[in-house]
Order: sequence, then C-alpha cells, then structure tokens
Amino acid sequence: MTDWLLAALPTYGLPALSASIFLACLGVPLPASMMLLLSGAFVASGDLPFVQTVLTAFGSAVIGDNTGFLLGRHASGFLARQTEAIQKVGTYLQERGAWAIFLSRWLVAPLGPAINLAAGAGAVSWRRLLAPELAGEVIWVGLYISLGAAFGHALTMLSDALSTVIGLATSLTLMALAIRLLRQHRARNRKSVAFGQGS
Amino acid sequence: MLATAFFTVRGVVQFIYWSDPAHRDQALEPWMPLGFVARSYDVERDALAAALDLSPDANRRVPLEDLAENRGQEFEAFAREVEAAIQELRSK
Repeated sequence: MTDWLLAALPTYGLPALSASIFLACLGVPLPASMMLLLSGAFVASGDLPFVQTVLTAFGSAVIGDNTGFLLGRHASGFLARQTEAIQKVGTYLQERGAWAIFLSRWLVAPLGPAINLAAGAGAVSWRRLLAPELAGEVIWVGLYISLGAAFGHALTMLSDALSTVIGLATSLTLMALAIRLLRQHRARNRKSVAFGQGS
Repeated sequence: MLATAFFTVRGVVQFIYWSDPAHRDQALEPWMPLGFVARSYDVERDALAAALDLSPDANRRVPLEDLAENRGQEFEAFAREVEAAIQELRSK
C-alpha cells in the first residue's frame, strides 16, 4: 500500500500529494508525512518544482483541516449522546486550545484529525481555529519538505526516526492527559464523599 | 504507558540498526525516478543517465519500472544495470 502510494508520486505528481494530504487530514490512514518527505527529496533532485509543491502541500492540508472542522460542526447533531464531553473539549479548545491545535498539526500529528472534528463539533469559532492551524501547517510542510530535501538519500531512516519521535510525543501527550483526567476524577470523588459525610 | 515504552524501545532498535552504514544505502525500488536514485547514491544524475544510454531530460520523474519497460527489460535486470553503473561512477 505504502509502496503503491510512493509510486503514485513520481507518476501522478502533485495531484497524488494533494489527495493523500487532504484525506489524511480527515483521518484516512495514509502516509502523508512520508509523501511529503519524498516530495522534498524530489524537489531536491529536480523531479518536482519547489514553489508549486510547497503551495500544493500547504493548500491541501488547510482545506483538509477545514473540511474536518466543518464535518464536525454539521455532524454534531448525530453525536447528541456525547454532547457533554464534546462541549467540554470545545470549551477547552476555544479558551486555551491554541497550542493543542498548533502542535497537533505536526508534533502530535496523529491527533490532528480528531482535534479538527472535535473543534467543529464543540462549537469552537472558526477564527479561533484558523491562526494556530495555519501556523502549524506551515511548520509541518516546511519541516518535512526541508528534511526530505536534505536527507533524501536516507529516506527510510528519516521516516522511521520521525515516526518514532511523533509516536513518542503522541503517547506521552495521551498519558499526561489520562493522568490529569484521573486526578480530576479522584478529586471530584473525594469532594462528593466529603459532602456526603457532612450532610 | 505501553505505547510510550514501545516507541522508546523502537527508537533504540532503530538507532542500532541505522548505525550500521551498510543499512544506509537504500535498495532500488520500482517507484524511484533516476534523479532520485542519483541523489541517493551521491552520483551525478546526468552522468548516471549517460552511463545507461538515457537522455537526461527525457527521464525526469519517470520511475525505474517505466524506464525498464521502455527498454523492454524486467525491472530486476534494469536495476542490476543501474547498480553496476553507480559502482562504476563511484569508482572513478
């Protein structure tokens, strides 16, 4: 599957890059980061034009993110049962979520599609989403194109190393999140126990 | 926590694997265009094309697989020729 996709890049060029980035932003499990690294390597070897490649990658990522956001917004009616949780996430993203949105574009990229949907469903304003989203995608595209261009001769090594770093960052983030939720839960339990005894 | 442990172990294994320079030359794959191969193996792209009797301009972004087909060759046979050409260019 990955090999087939990598073969699509030299054969179909930028449309293949665009489609895989767009779909990956919606949560389809495609190796978009690997495609972007390879595009960087192709830019360096003269197989792809620099400016068009950067613009295609950036544009597709932004359109993909915003499509996910809109899907979340218009599908939120179907998610009625989880409204409370989604509202909480939405409130968090709206008030303090700029970093979460920014980092989930590149450092904890696997969380990106979920954050897009949650932001849409949790009624985060579009203006709130846009700035960190654009900034994050600039970093993602810039980082992967330059790394691909610089280390194209060791692409497999690079892609292995990056996916390990991203995997570590993501699992650490989830772990920290779980610990925090657990603590909050315990604190709440304690409070309600104390309240029960007092009455 | 399991996932964190997994990625840590994976990082160490990868570090050891890639520390061996023999693992760093990437094998030729059917999807690779010639310019990409030239860059990977640090040889001149035009020199590599010339060594294979290919015109440098006609071969932008054409995967090895298609180049082989145009020459009426199997990919494996063509890949061996490319490897031989790279060895020769490197030894110059």
